[in-house]
Amino acid sequence: MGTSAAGWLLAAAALAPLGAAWAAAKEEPIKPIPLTMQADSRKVALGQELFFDRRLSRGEKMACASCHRFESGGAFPARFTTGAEGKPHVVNAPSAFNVAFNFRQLWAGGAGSVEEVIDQVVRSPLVFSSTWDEVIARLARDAAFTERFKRVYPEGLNAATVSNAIAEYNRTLTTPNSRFDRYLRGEASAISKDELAGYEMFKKYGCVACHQGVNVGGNMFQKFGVMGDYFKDRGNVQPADLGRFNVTQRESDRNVFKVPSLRNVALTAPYFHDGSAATLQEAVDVMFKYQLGRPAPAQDRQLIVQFLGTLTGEQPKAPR
Amino acid sequence: MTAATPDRLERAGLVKLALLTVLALAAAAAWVALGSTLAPRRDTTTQRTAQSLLEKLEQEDAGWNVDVLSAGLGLDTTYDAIAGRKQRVDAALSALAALASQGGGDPGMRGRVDILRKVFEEKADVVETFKSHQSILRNSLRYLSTAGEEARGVLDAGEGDAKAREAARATLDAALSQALRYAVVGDEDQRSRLSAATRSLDEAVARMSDAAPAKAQLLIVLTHLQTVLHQKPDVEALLRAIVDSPTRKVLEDSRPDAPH
Repeated sequence: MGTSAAGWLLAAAALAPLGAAWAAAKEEPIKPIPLTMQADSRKVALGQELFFDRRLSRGEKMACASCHRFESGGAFPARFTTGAEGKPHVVNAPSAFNVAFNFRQLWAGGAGSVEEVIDQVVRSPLVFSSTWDEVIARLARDAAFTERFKRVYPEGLNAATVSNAIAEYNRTLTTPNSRFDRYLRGEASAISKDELAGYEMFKKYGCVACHQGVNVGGNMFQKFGVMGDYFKDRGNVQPADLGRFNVTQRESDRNVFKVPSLRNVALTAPYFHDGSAATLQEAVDVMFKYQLGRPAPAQDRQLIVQFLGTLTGEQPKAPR
Repeated sequence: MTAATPDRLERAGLVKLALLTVLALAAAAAWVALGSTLAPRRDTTTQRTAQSLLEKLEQEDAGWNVDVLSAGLGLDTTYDAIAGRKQRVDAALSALAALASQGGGDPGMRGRVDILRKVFEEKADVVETFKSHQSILRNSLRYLSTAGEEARGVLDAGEGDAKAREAARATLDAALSQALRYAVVGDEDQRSRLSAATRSLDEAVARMSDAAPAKAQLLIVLTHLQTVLHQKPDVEALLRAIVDSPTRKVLEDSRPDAPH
């Protein structure tokens, strides 16, 4: 009995640091991505086919996956993508990964759901430049696909069902188990000392006031240029720079954008809605200058960049 | 045997008549009762669903206030809960709108749902503004201690008039302390104290030469002190606007059993 009690005490003592680490992790302003997501696998399978299907675009020139590259963290590795009619887009393609954790979609929050994004993408002259009538007609010519689709969506092919299928798939594209998430779940050795120091800097400089939650952002709006006029300094101001103002027409929303998620940020260069920062170092410099009102000390910036690298999770695999 | 007299016949006739009348009245009552049970059955079901959605909205609305207040107090350091709550409110509103479009024998329902949507949209806008302003305040409050440490480090290591550096350091410490107090007690007295402390620091910085090593650091501190002064009242006003939002009143007025 005494031995047993002593054993329990020893075990409790041994586990105490783990418990403390766990308790501390629970209080962190960044939360780990859930390890599983609920989804209808039949809809997801259809959505996956459609995500890579060029028939959604005019001239069957491009698919969702053309701009949301799996090898680039779900983003596009250049400033702007080119649409089905050869026109360049006016904002950088945001990542298609972890969109399930965004409170609204797109840079200015112009879509309340992933379905709305798909609707906009299909009809936008800068992307698929198509119409739903054209898309449905092209898909309907494929009897086998139509039949399979009807088995899952009895109402058949239409704008709502096609958008929903793609969105169902899109919402499963999450990147759990990043080294930082493992650290948050109690695996203290998952990140290095420097990366942890970078996280402390990230909190100390206040970055975490906006970049928080499961998606390390993606759950609020903020003005780009709280402490300085980014757009005046950058020059060549474009209508897209007005951000959320373009959605609401409210003066207070001028230059306001959704705070982007920093998940997989090491893979998603270039950065910002204008794709103006080619590297993470540059992006951190811009944030220090315009959101904090001071330059970034070189060593601290380096540590923060190292920390950001720990946010890269397990990447979804593109079908072969 | 008793012979049937005209009196008895008349009485029997009256009894039959009374019985027939009672039967007729009972049948009429049954018809009315049956009619009122069957005919509006669809309406009652719609009303019950509407009632349950309104109760759900009331719960979510109350929870939304708690989420916002938790963020306001710093008990929750993320905005995920607030964002999730908004999605559930939207889902309940969409379900109500779908119900209203079916009619369900309540012609006023669509109008009441439109009013509900409007007040919830207005509340959502205020919540978004709150998040933006509060995050700026949180950023400055978090960063002020770092900025203060940096400025102290430069002042301590600096050259020149030690007395002046000591005075600047004391002014800096007082301002930082007042900022933290103001973050906790956001009343007018404390705001005045922070305002005065910020002014003193501003004057101390103005007296420094541009070449003074601590000047740049102290200017950064001043910027964030000003941010706290500007943002704190905004954040508190937004918090008040959120909890005072008329959503609850409009929800009560929207109940099917409320007098319309």
